[in-house]
Amino acid sequence: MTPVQDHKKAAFLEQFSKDEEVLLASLPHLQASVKDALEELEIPHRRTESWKYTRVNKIINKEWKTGSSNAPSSNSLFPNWEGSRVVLVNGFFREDLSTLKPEDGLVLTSMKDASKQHGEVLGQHCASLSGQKEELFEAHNLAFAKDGLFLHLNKNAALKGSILLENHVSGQRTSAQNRNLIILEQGAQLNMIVAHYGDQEDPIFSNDLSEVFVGENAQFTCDLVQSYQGEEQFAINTIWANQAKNSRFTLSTSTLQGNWVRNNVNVRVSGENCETNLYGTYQLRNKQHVDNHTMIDHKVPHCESNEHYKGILYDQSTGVFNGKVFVREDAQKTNAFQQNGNIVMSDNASMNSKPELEIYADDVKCSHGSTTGQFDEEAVFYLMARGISEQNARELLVKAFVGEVLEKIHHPEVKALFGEEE
Amino acid sequence: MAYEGDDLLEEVTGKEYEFGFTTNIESDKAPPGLNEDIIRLISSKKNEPEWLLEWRLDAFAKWSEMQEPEWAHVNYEKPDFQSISYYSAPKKKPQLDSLDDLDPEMRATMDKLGISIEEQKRLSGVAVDFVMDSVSVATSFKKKLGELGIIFCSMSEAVQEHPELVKKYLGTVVPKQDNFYAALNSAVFTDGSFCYIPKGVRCPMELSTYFRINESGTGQFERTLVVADKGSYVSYLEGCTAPQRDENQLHAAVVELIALDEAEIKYSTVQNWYPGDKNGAGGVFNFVTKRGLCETRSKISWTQVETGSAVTWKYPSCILKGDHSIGEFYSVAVTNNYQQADTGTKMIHIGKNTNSTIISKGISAGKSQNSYRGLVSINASAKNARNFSQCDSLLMTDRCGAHTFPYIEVNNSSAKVEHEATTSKIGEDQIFYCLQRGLNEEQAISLIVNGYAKDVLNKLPMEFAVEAQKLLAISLEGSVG
Amino acid sequence: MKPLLSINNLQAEVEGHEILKGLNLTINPGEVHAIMGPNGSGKSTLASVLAGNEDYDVTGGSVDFDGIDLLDIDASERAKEGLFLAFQYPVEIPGVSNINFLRAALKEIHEHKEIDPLTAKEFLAKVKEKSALVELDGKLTNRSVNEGFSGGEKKRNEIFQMAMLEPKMAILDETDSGLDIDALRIVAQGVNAMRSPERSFLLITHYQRLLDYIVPDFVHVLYKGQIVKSGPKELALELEEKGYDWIKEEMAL
Repeated sequence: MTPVQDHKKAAFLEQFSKDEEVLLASLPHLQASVKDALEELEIPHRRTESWKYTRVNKIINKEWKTGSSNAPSSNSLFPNWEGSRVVLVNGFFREDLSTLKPEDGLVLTSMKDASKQHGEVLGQHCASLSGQKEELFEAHNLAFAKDGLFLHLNKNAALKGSILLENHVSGQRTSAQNRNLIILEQGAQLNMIVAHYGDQEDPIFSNDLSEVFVGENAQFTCDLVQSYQGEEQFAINTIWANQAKNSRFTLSTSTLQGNWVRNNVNVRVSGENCETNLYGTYQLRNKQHVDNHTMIDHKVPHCESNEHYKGILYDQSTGVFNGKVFVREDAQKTNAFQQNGNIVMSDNASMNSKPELEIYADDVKCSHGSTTGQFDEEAVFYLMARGISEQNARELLVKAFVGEVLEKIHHPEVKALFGEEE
Repeated sequence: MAYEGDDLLEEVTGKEYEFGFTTNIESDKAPPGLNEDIIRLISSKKNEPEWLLEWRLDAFAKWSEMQEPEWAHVNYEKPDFQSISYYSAPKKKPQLDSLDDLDPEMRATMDKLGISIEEQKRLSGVAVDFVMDSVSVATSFKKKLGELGIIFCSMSEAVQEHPELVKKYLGTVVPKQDNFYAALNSAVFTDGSFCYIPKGVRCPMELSTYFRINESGTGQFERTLVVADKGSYVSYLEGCTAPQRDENQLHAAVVELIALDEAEIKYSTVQNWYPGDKNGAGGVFNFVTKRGLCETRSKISWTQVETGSAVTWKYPSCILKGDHSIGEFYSVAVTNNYQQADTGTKMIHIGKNTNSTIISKGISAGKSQNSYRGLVSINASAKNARNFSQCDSLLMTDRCGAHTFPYIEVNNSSAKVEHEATTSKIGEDQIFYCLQRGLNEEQAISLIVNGYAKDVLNKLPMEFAVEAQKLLAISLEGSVG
Repeated sequence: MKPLLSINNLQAEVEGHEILKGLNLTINPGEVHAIMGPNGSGKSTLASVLAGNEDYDVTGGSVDFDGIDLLDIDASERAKEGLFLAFQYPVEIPGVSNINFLRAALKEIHEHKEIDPLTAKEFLAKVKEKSALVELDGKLTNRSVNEGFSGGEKKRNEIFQMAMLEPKMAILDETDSGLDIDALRIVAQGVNAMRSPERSFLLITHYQRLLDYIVPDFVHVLYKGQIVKSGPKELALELEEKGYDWIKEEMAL
């Protein structure tokens, strides 16, 4: 690292290191490695393979302050939600804004409380999946996160309804780094909607990380929705999941708005007969930039994964898709499918797609595909020749294009955000 | 640092050194190590013009500041660049009295490839009258080309005979600082091939280094430059299917192709360098930079069948600069035992209506690692650019790896880029079906693998294709796990 | 009688190649016209130009459709004015269901005509009625537009759409090509059921065969971008018998 970079990194980290209430304080076994990682890891740059198409200078070079824990939350995309609603503001769990419906087998509390009341479970799981030793921003999250959601489902607990988790970040130059821990014991079932809002136009930096443990026979389904409204809003959303045998993990990521969004989804498939599904959509306008990085690590035989991301790029927007599938030596009989489709609508927009397969077992069926192009003008003409106006024809085709992914979204409330009629 | 010391030394001794050096060397082999003096020695031995020496020295300066790349999906012990000798005078292959002196394993392979006894003798350097025949063939061949104005000679000869062409085109497609190995090659290349096809001429025969190698021997740092002037056509063959042993572990060649307006270059390679033994010991490191530049309505087509080398690092690429230009890449890469290959292509679309096709077929066996790495980059200026890529991997055992790393960068709205990749095991049901019809396992595998690689093999010139098919079968013998 | 369609000295080119070289044609309400001609004479270009495909550049002439300057409006507006093209190669549109697509089209056409939109029930009843007309399987109407349809199904789907949209004028571009006799009969039956004193048809075909099933009032021969001969339905038989060479010879004189 050059002295300039070193200095930049120190100045950036300096802004966060001012108080003592971090979760790490109660995780002594992690402290040394986090400290080392922050010292050793470089600021990602153009030659950092995993950050090849996304620049972080704008985050590093700006001033940030830790957001207030009692800031108000603004509008929700789900005002009529009747189930449990968990609200985090600036990374802090807000009981006053949340509506919690107690259910059998469910422990739902703040990470801050969990570090006291469920210290052992938290200590065992927290940061056991994530990559704080490899990724500067993951180390940053672990070093400075103060709160988040702690959710534990007991054996065979199945919730009646879905849980809505809403993350708001607001306030000038606010940074928020929360850390969530979700544990599904054997046979448990959980459906979630996770919404991220960059409230108003405030410049914000959100570095959010969740670890999800899907136990044997357990099922986890989550629809992630992102709506960052301001221009100077930077968001890193990282999810780490581990699957025990016979489990299912399904995640959809819909980026409705976001000027600078980086999503990292990493799934370790550690047990046999698992199913992993990752879906994503993005429709980017103006100068928006969205980078979806996914990793599915097949470590054991007889598992299946499906991955499908589709996006449309308008104006000067830029999109990145980097999907990595590992099939380890022992993971025979793996079926892995990965597809990324893009439509570039403007000459000033660009798309970088990198679907990767790393395969070390032979008895597998793996395929990936990536297409980037434009509308089939013949289809536009065909629709117009039946009396549909050009604009409506194009809208119909946009819907048809992303429709394949939208139909995989679990919650009708999320589908409705795309104007899908059911 | 030692380099600074050398600089200092040169400053002190000054110009005198430059002139006096060559006479100080009695032997025809330079001492191991790389510094400016060695480069001056190479240049002077080859009687090169001043500009070329400057060019080499500049490349060396740039190389000295570069790091050996580590991004490829290969593991090997990095060569010690100071222990290599960068110059030795061309010498004849050791002469054997009869084929009986030849390594029996090598001979068996040649038999299987269907190489005739005479040919085997020639390839392995057995002294027979036959070699004379070969020379006479080469001579009549050269005469015919000369009548058409086609220049086909060694790079050293081209530097002497056609300096204006070499100076105009050398390093224009692969700049000397392009990458670590290209910079090294630029500094120390000893020989290679040069080919120029004049305007509107269609080269009547396949040009092959096969003929030229007999004259001067292959180099460790080969440099090839092919220029097809406007409206011309040439098909160029490189390498041969016979196994090639080489005492040099590191090979870092550079190939530059230039297709001027409406020209077409077809460049076919069969690479069968010594891959090391079954335990992964020895074997050639093949770090090659191959790139072509396409002007308006021109076409460059790379076809390669790669079965050799311990470590391969190779991305024959096309810069589609001219409008309506076409780039193609057809590749079969086989890895067995402990071989590692990281190969693919780059298609850089700059001109309008440019079109590229990538067909890559990887076959992994033994404990080998076979990676496809490719870039399709569509610049904003490349309106209506099209690319289609198909990258398939076939796995023969449960100990090998097959990896796909495509980079797709699209920067305009009228481009269409499609990439497809599949990875699967060789079909046991297919093998069984063949066995049931009376074939043995080797025949069955050969049949299936050749079918799998057909799209690429079909692009090779006829006689090459037949040999390549046999080569695939031999490379995979006994490989089903 | 006021003509429904009148084409005057129409000239068009594609990628710089002149295809239509001053074509004239008048079609009155209720008439069925057939245009025949050898390959490359410009038949399909004519259909595409009339429907408003922007790949073709109109370089001269005019087209009046029921008092409207057809060349002045885009493909969608032409459809709304009642011009229908049954495509020679109907495109597949994955993800867009046949039903939603027709509903969207009908809604826009009705809005344009200031007619109350159909209720869902009325719409479905209409789908049922019209799909029966061309013996189109109900399952196909729920699938994506033309996706995975056989050649014959695609052509029947075109006629089904025509029946749903009830245009003033329908152009059938080689609808008979690639159809077996049964499919041809079904397509013809659909077209014949649609014939009325107000509605006109322009059949573009290479073979006389279609005209056994849909009997035209007039037959025209298109050659090198112009209509070189017109006559009653018997002209088609004559063409079938003698081929196009005699026309070429006549032209050469």
